[in-house]
Amino acid sequence: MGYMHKTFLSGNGIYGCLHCGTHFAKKDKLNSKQYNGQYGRAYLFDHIVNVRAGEEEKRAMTTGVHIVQDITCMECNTYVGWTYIKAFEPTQKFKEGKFILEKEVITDITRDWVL
Amino acid sequence: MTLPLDNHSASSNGCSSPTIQSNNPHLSNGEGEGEGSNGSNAAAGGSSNSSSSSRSDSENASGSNGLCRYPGQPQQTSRTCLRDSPYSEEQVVRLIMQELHDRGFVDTLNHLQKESGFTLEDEPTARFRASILAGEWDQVKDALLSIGLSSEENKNAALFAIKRQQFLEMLEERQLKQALMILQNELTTLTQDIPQLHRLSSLLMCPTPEELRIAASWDGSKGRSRFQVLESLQSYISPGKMVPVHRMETLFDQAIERQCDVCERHVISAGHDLYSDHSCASSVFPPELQINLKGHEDEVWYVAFSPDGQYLASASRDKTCILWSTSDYSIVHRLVGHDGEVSYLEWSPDSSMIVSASNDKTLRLWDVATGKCKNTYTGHEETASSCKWLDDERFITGSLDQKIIIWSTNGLLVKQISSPRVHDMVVSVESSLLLAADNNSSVHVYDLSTLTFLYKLEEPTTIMSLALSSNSRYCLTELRTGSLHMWDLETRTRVRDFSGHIQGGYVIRCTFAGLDDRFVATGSEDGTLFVWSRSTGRLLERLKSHAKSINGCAWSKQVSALATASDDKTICIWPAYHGAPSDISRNVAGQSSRSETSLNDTDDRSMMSTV
Repeated sequence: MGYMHKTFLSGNGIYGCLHCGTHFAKKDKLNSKQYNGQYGRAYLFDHIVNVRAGEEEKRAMTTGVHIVQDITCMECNTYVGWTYIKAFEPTQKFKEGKFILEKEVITDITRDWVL
Repeated sequence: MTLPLDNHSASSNGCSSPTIQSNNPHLSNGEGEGEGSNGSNAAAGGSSNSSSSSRSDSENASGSNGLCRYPGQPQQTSRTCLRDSPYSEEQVVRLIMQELHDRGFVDTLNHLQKESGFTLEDEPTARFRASILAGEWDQVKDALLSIGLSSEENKNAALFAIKRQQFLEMLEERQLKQALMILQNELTTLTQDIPQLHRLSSLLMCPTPEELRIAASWDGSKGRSRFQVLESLQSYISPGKMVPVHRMETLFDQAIERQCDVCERHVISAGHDLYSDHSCASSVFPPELQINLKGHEDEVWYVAFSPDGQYLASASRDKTCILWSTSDYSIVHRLVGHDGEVSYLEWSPDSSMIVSASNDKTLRLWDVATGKCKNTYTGHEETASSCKWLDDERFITGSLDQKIIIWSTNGLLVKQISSPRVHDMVVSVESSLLLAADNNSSVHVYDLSTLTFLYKLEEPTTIMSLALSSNSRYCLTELRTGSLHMWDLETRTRVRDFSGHIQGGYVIRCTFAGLDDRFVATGSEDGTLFVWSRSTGRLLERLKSHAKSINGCAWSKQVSALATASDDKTICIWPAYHGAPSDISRNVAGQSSRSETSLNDTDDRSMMSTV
């Protein structure tokens, strides 16, 4: 969908792609660690960068039915999580527009990666 | 041939003759005369009509400052002026006389002088001109003084110029002793410019006239140097006495230049047509899509025309580049080899090589004639976001990995500096400038030869791409918020904004286009090409050409067309008009017939359709 420059985050506490090191999110945008994805634990973030969204689909999750989009790393196209477009349960509305990154495919850049 | 004149007292440049019209508002067939005509002593062009008698009364009444008539001159024959004109008759007639004189119409000139009563040059001025051109230096000084100059310094400057010419001529004739005397006695008293005097005295050393001419950049007494001295003295003598050389043509040039300036959609240069005002077509580009190039299998991210106008190159997400010929838009080569999507490419100045940058973090150098990859360059840890050629051997790349690297065509890394994360770069080899947009919304300007930082231009939001005008004076920044800012690099200020197109977070390239970079063009995420006038900022065209977002656009002077690259895998070509709107159909027909013939020639996947 067009060419996009990669965004670089600054400061300490950056989560990025395990595979290629692309920055995804700052630690201060972390909302909750209490989620589960296909590979296990997953984190909820308010705002992330450098991801590409796939098709919208309706999915039934433990908390109810949601419309979600799978997101992939902009650089290496690995699957990293999903984002909530719409939540049908009123109690789940807060998730709309936020992002889930699975713990298995991300890493703490500042600790593991020397760029 | 000049008529004898008297009464030089009225010619002092300080006084201006009062306008006769103000004394006499009821002039019929208004002559428009005497409007502050520089206090020169040309005669009043008498025209006997019903009011002439009243006018001559007022002339006598207005005292010594009025335009004087020749004593004993017969009354002019009746001459009816057909039209009122705010321009002084004397000035207009003398300009005409100058043109006649320059073009050699001697008889007409004499007749005109008799008929109008004006003269092109009065006696002292003519004598002065003749003596300079003949090189009679003794008479020159007297002639100059009899003309009268406005101030003492001007007199000294004028005499200096004259004496310098005399000095050089004497040196040429090897009359060294006399030349030295001039230098010592006269030149030194006439000027304060000591280095100039030293230069002149050093010319005494020149052994031959040839060397003298070269050393002084002077073309000899037989050449144009005497004319040049005369022209330079023009500035010290009032224009009323000696009309500035080719004055009418100067005015014509100014008028045509002004017509070009106000022509907003300027695509053809103005000729020298004096009969009608210059104007370009009413519309810059044809309203409908002309040529659509298919050949890529995925989004096209960048296009560029070759500097010689023969090829168009495109870079795509399908990991290849395609070279198209601009004569029939057939595919010449496919540049295959990158492992990642190709995001950028750049032509070498001699159009023989292309450098392409890809998401596989490498750059590849391709030979245009064969389509083969000559070299692969690794060294950047991120995609090179921009690459520009410095000359035919070296190119410079900028990337988000905080390095700016200069490479050479034989595969080596020449120089590397650390830099901010570069989003885009433009280079001007003539002005030795490198502009790099970083990811923090500012443009860093470096000196190109030393790669030292000079200054920064600040923008409010992230810059997606840059463009530079061909005179290296103006720089465009395309911002994430969907507007373009134009900066003047000499004053380092923002001079104009252009907006209206849609921009999300994707990189959209902008460019200058048209003759003298008259237009500013960029794509938009709704597939429309936007063209603005650079001088006024007005939106001129919105050309719907693509179904999806336009990523890049390029302009070529030789092809005189804009090319746009889009996410819908195609490239569109927009040729600019040449001439009157009636030429549109001719241009379009010409291209569509071309496209038909080439369809049979290639069995490539390139198709051309005219819509």
